[in-house]
Amino acid sequence: MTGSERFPRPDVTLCPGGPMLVRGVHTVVDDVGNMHATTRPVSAVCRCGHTSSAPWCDGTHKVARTRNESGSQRSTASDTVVRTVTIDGLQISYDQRVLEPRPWTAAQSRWASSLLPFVPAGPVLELCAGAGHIGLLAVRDHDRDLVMVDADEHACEYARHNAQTARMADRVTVRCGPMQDVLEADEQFPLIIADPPWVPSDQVDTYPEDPHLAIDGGATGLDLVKSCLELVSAHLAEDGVSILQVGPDGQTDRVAEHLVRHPELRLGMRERRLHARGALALLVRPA
Amino acid sequence: MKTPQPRGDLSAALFAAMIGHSPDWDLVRGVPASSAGDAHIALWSMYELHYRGLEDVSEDLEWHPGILTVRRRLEVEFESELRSRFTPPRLQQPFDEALFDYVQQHDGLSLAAHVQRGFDREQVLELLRLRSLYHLKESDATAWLVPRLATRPKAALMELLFDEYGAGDPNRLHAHMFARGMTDAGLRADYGAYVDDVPVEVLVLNNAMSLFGLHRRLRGAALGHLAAFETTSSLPSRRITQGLARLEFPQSLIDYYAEHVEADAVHEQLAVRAICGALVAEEPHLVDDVFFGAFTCLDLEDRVARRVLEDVRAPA
Repeated sequence: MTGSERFPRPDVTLCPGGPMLVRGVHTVVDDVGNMHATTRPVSAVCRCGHTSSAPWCDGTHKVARTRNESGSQRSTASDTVVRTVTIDGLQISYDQRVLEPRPWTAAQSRWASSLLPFVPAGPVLELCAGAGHIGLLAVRDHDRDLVMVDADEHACEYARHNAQTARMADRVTVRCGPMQDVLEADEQFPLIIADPPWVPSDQVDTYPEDPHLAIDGGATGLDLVKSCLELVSAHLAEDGVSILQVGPDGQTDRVAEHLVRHPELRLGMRERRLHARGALALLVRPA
Repeated sequence: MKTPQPRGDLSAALFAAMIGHSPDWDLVRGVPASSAGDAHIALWSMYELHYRGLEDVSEDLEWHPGILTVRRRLEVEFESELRSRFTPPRLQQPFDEALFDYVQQHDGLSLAAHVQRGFDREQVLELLRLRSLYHLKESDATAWLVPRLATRPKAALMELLFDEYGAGDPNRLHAHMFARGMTDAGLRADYGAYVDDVPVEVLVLNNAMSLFGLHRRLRGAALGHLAAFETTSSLPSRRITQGLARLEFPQSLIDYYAEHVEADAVHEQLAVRAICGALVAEEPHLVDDVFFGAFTCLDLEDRVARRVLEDVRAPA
């Protein structure tokens, strides 16, 4: 590089998946005939048609963008937009009716994956699977089957779709319904992943972007956690392990206390890992 | 503005030395910070000497070795804490798209959604007070970057900053638009008026911008921070305009946020593609630092949001 080359200087730039940038002073006529003068050195003209500031871009294309990229269809719900995220290389689709897959939760998958070589043979169970990324990531690099359970039919639809996208459909079963009803009494799993909603009811408004049902854990936040513990107790194989996700702020303490108060569950907490947005607990059969 | 209230041993010793006539800098150098709030109010006040200054502190102190020694100590700890929270992403896409997606995928709490629908007037006023610490010097930390960049990123940054600074019209300078809105809403618009009232998370957020802006070495982080900031502004700004209208705040304040809906839809494209894109094309080794800066912006904003929501829920 000489440091003195001539740089390209376009007046108009089409941003991939975004607006048209125009430099300089212009008057733009919108699609209903109104005139709009530019007011800044560079202006962004909407190209996606979803802006609320026509003719100018207001960033809305980013909400709609993943729909176009993933080639998925707009759902029948009036403003449901299919979004995709990539977590640890796995492409996960979801929409606003389903809890958004959070990147930090891959820590739960990695922990489960690291334990899989050491637990007995058999399929992995995921309770409250949502869009399914935690379970899919956990078993992706192993020769294990995965059973995913969720009560919400939209979540189950996405879990199936995401398993297909990951080319794992042949070893993944999705069961839709209340978790107590879709497991046979004698089914045993060497590893159980549980991701129940854990936000106390009076705090669900702290997460305005999330569907309430997907995060509401009852008055203390632990209603579904406790249901999960009962199912883990009933379906965890001897020498098996379970990784439970709960909220930050002392929820692991309350789960540990609950396990002490309920020895009939035959579960103990061997290790906990705290993350900024939640906590993970490793549950085992007491010796 | 004058020196803020100290928040612990270090800031007390430092501020006494900054204001005093025969300060003992050796003494100040040895005082440990008694809390994060203590360290960050000290750092914030030392940084302030590089912005508009403190009325009760001599202008000669800006580059005084006593100040710089304490500043350096706090900065080393601060930067290492920020870096310890960050994991560089593995890029599987072109840089521009990767940066847009990285910001988009960050899972942050939205204060704007609360302003739009839930907060009452007092809660919004409190948020404006906290925000004023930055908005009254909007873009100033980024302006320090200009002489440190090669031709293309420099021209691109100036194109963005020209707009931030009103394109020559003082009435459209963003910090000034915010000041007018503050005054009309019955708040104080003088520089740093509410510094004594803000929680440490707000000081940390502001100090990170000054840290990145003042060190040439951190130019990648500074521009990554800018990109994340601009990229998370348009849609939230729209929500804030709706909340302000709902609570019948003055038009000048609504105008400030409305300006950011459109301006930042432009700026996010410029910041990611033209500025950061050109920076890493010239200096590819800065890619991780760009993401570090972006992460830090999102992470610290999130910590502020969390703190604000906690304070809202706490009984008064």
